[in-house]
Amino acid sequence: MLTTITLNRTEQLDVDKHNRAGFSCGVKELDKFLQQKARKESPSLSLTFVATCAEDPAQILGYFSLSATNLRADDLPDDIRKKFGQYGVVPATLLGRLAVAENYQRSKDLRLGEFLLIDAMFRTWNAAQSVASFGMLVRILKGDKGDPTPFYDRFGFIRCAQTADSVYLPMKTSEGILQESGLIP
Amino acid sequence: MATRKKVNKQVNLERVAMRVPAAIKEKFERAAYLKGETFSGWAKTVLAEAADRQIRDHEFFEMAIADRLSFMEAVLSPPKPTRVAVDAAKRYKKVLGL
Repeated sequence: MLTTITLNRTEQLDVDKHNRAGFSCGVKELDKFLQQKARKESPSLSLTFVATCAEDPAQILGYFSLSATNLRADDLPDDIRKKFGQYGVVPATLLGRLAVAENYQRSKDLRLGEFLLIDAMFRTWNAAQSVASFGMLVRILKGDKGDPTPFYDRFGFIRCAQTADSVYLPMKTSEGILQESGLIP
Repeated sequence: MATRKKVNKQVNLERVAMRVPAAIKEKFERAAYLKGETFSGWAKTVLAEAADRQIRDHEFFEMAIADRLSFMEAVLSPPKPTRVAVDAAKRYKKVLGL
């Protein structure tokens, strides 16, 4: 475990460069995704981005994956559906996975969870300038580490009332976060 | 009377093989039998359904109608950013020197 850490900007997972086998976040499914699935899903199903540091650029401190998805709208009332275009689908971005290496989860200085989430919002917002996305969707994975829903609550994600373990954040809210912090004009 | 000529489309058939424990194979065969199908006929149907579902699941995020309506309403009148989120974004900016 490193004592000094200078975070790099996140980068797309590169299996020749990043040490996937050394990553462990305490939730098997999330470790397995990074080790066995992330590369296979890239680029057609999802893209995985990793947090690394200048001191050891091969070590993965945390990661998240993003993909394009849609919400069905063909079964919704016309008046609201028409506000989202004529195609009966509402494009959105899926934050498929987000995990922080176990050794660094408790670090109050690093705050890797929020670092990754803001980075995901920033990337999503940038992508949405070219391809429409009305918001970020998350299916919460309740793993061995407990329930991460309160983490998403704090960032303003809205809990689905009827769909289990699902939260979302409108793109305009992400935009507001990025604007108020000065990340975007 | 014109007779309709059966057109045989040229389809390239490929073989799918897999090794599974004997007990699993028996289970598959039992399920196929209960459906009144041959094993390979049953497997083709089941796999095709699973593939369709998988692809659909990827393209569409399953969400109850009420939640999709709430999502759209939130998009039309987006909530203000939380303090926590803005502070986190400021720290992100600072850490990366942006």
